[in-house]
Amino acid sequence: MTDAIVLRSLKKRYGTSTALAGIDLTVPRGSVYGFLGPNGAGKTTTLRILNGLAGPTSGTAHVVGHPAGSTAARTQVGFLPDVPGYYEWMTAREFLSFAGGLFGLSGPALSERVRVLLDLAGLTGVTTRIGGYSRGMKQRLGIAQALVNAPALLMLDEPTSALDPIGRRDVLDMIASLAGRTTVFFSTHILADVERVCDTVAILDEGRVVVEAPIDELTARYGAHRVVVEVDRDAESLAAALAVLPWAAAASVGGDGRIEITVSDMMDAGRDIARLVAESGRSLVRFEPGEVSLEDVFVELVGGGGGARE
Amino acid sequence: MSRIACLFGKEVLEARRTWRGPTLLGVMVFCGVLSPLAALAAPALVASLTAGQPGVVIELPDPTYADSYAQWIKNLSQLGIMLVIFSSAGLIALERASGTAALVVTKPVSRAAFVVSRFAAHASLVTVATVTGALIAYGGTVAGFGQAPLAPLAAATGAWLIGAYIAIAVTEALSAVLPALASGVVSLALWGVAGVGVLWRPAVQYTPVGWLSAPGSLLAGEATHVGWPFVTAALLVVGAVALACALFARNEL
Repeated sequence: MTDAIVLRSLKKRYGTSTALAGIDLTVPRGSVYGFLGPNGAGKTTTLRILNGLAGPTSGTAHVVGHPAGSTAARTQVGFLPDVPGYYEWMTAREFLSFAGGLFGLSGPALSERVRVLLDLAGLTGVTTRIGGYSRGMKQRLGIAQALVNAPALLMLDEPTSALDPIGRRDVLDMIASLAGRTTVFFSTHILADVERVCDTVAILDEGRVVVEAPIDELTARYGAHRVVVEVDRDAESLAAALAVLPWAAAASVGGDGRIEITVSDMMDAGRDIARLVAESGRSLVRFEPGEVSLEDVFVELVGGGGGARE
Repeated sequence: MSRIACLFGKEVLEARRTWRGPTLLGVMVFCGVLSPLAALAAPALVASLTAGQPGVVIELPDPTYADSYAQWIKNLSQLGIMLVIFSSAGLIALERASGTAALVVTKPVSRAAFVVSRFAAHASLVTVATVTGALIAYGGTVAGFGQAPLAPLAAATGAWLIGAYIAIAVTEALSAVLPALASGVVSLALWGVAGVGVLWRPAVQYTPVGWLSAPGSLLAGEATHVGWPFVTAALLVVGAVALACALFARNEL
């Protein structure tokens, strides 16, 4: 089966500024794919190219087997931009009917599709015009209009970034409900959103994909476990001693004196930590094993570096 | 429902729901009502201005339907064309700025269809508003002056509409690359330059500039060149809309 998105050596420059420095990416069909990166990493530029709103400087972009932006590609794609524009003088029903009409839908099929999507977006019975909607209502309407053609691929650009916690939860629930029914590709800089609904993730930084993998594989690849250790004194020197051991991928001391260690072998780590603490005469206050989060991987890969133009 | 019909339907709804439709219709109706009233009141107005000034005597002939029609065309040529230009200035620019263009062109409709539908819908709106105003002016003229032939009014209004279509097309092309206000200002400036061209006879005989003077000369029953001006105006409208399509196709949204 054709992959949902295939990018090869995709570059985009604006004058002297590089937005995309050569992206290679493959999004398999059926996945809920998180396109993660700090602000300015190039996420929106990539999505604009994928939807034909901008052209690449070089490289290729294919969507469901067709060149990005072609009529054949647009027929099978639903898209929600980062700042969606609405005809604010329309009602939600009129807007969805208009969007469906642009896909050639009409008659009872269109009416039924609009009814289902209004229900999905929680806008059934809302008769006020879009200009009077809250951000959350607009965002849910934006996702609904992107689904009006029952797309093979749904692309969402930062769908939760401007929402309050309840609006964010609603939108994530909508996305999660689509898993298994269509391919979802959404960009975000909010790690928790990706961990909650995505099965695969690509991390973008300064116009490059720094990693692309299923989330489970990614956290395993970058250290399967994390251990938090707290001792009664002199945490810095203990952290330094632990950091050089073969199973320690990284060790750092937080502001509260806790040592956070990324470990590749939990058994060895447990034995060596206990031994070193005992030999140094310290008291072990806390030993807490845990999983490495996507945030840990993200920070490790992206760090605090600046970004290219979004 | 075809995609073009869908786009056109949205334009019709937009004309009804936003300021453009009511304003265009309202101004044209106002001009239609005002024209016969202004013609009827002109002698009394002039008399009131000179009253009490010894030695100043201005006598105007009794007004006729021709004065009412001339007032209608004068209103169209001043207020009407400004309204047409500035109501066209956002045809593409405002859709780009608000993000609605991006939402539409990511659907399987061509950017050219988007541009053409906007032109066609706005030209239709201007036509409906202008014809409504003209019919009101005609009714007011018949009521005020007793007899009034329809043909000169229809010919002059039709000639003005051709000029309006040119203004819409040129303004839309500017709107594909400039912000809305700048599109309106530049288009109005171009219209002013074209107005100077009326003084050069070959321009009136062979180019779209002829449509600036045609309404007045048709009303006056003067010989009016329409052949070449029509051909060149049609080419200009088609060319300007095609240019708008080409420019919009290059826009990164």
